[in-house]
Amino acid sequence: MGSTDGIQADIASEIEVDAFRRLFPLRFYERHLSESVRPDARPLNKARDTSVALGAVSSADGSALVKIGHTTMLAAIKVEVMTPSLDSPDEGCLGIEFNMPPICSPSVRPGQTAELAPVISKQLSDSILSSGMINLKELSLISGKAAWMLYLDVYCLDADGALFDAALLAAVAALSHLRIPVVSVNDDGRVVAMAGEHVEGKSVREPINREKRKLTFSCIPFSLTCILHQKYILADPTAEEELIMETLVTVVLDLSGRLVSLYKLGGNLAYNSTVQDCVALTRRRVKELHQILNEAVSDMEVD
Amino acid sequence: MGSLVHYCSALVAAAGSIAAAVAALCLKKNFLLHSSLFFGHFGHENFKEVKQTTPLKSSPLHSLCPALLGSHTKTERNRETEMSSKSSSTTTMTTTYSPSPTVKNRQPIIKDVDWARPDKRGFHQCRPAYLNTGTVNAASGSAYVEFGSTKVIVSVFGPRESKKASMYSDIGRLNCNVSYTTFATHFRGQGTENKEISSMLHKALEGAIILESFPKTTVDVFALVLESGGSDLPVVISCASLALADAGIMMYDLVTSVSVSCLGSNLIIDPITEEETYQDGSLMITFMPSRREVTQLTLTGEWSTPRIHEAMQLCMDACCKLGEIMRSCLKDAAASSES
Repeated sequence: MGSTDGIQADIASEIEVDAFRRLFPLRFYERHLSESVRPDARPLNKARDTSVALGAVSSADGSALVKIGHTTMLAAIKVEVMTPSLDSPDEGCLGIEFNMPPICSPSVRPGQTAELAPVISKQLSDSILSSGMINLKELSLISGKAAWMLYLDVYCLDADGALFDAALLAAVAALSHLRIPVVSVNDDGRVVAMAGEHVEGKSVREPINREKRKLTFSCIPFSLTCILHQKYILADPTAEEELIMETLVTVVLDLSGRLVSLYKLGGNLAYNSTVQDCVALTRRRVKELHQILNEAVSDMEVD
Repeated sequence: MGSLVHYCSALVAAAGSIAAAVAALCLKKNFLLHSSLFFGHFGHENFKEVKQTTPLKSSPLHSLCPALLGSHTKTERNRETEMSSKSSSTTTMTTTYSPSPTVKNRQPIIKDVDWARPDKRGFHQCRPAYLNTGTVNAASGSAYVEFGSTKVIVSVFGPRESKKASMYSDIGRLNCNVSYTTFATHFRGQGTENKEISSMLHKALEGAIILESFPKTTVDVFALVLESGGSDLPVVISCASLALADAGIMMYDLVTSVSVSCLGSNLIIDPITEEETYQDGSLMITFMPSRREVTQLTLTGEWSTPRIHEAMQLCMDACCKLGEIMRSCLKDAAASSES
């Protein structure tokens, strides 16, 4: 008798907790925060488990699947040949796009773009292009005639907070997985891929980019999003946390700890010291992310 | 190098495919080694006798990343990036173009009996399949399905409030949407939604769902084709029914779908993109295996009556086997969530 009563009481209290969480989400969180713990049992400044897998898409020239907690991002790069613009005859181009298809979240409906998607798209290309991560001159094939156009598309497969962090990590991982195809120039002056020509045993044409199949990065940007609420700083928020507490700060740093970008869109006022704390948290996270990425790349190369 | 190596470090579900493919053989061998360690579902979908061939060379198994999609450990694969060995055609001169070889390899199409499929499968052999449910946490139900290089993810939302503008309805509504990623196809696409496939998916599922069970509300079925490797629609349909089951939407039966291409005098099941471009005719069946009912049947191209009969038998047989694999996938998911 006593034991069944106990179980029923447990169930009742569980239902009560769930109801409390839904009805008074902010108070629910504040109770947790005062105990320095989050509902998913994380300490305030800890990011969720992160994993990176390279080469997820075989139809792309470079791709990566990134998971931070439940947030899942798939990034893939396709390369095409373009005629460089007159202003920069020996530079290629990198186009970055972020998509939120309706599968990723109940709030995204088909036919309408999610509000967040263009914002993250812009932040992504700003962070990657302005950090000088990629030397666009490396993408040149024949000065003034041909250069590589990289299309980097990031798809959100599951949205559970900290979308920008996951998207940036996926984009960077896809770029480090990218292998540019070997090409040569044919008789018509067009750039064609070399594959398949060796089979016929008349590989007369010289490849024009034997050396430059992999990009070199001068720096690699990584980011961490934090939520500011009262005196608390919550690193790597989930979708629920983002919904309840509104002040988000995203810090993008490169490997040497230099600040690439910092976004604080709306929300309450943030003090200088709080922002400093966010930067310090990001600095720690950059090391973590760099190690995760390195492991993924070295796993790749063993194969 | 084995081009179709597919190996998951923790949970593998690969259906069939041994035949001559060296890579597939490696997979099989490896799986047998590991099968006691991993609790995976592994089904065969060979309709002909499995031919064991000796491996010509060993291809390295790509060690894959663990636990990426879904609550189950799930992996994407590393694969040799095949440089445009598929259909190659010159694009019109635009600002950018794909550097595919201009050499055309269009000749070798059937005619003779010795003709082999590009991925070395038997004519009546389906591609290795990987199924997984609960992939998208944000959705009520979801599934990820991989047939060879065709990779599809489907999320189901609801039953939830219908659109404000819609009329009162005694029965529930089904809303389907299929879109492609920009990198799904060989040439970079626009990533727009595909209206035709969306409506085909809607029609295939409509008959199987008990719409009376969620009056006045809508169930949304959204699919994203991550990579298109042929037979996209059948894969999307099967994946969608798996996602619906995962979401707990009431259905009369699981919906399975398989297509067959007619090339000359041969019938080939589960065609890849290359085979689909050369086909003389195609037949796709959407089938409820337990009830033995067809919810959708499409037939295009040139067919003779006995041919149609043969193709339908082939499809229905494959659908039944696929149904079993889907069922065991759902059972495994339910078992692992209980424990």
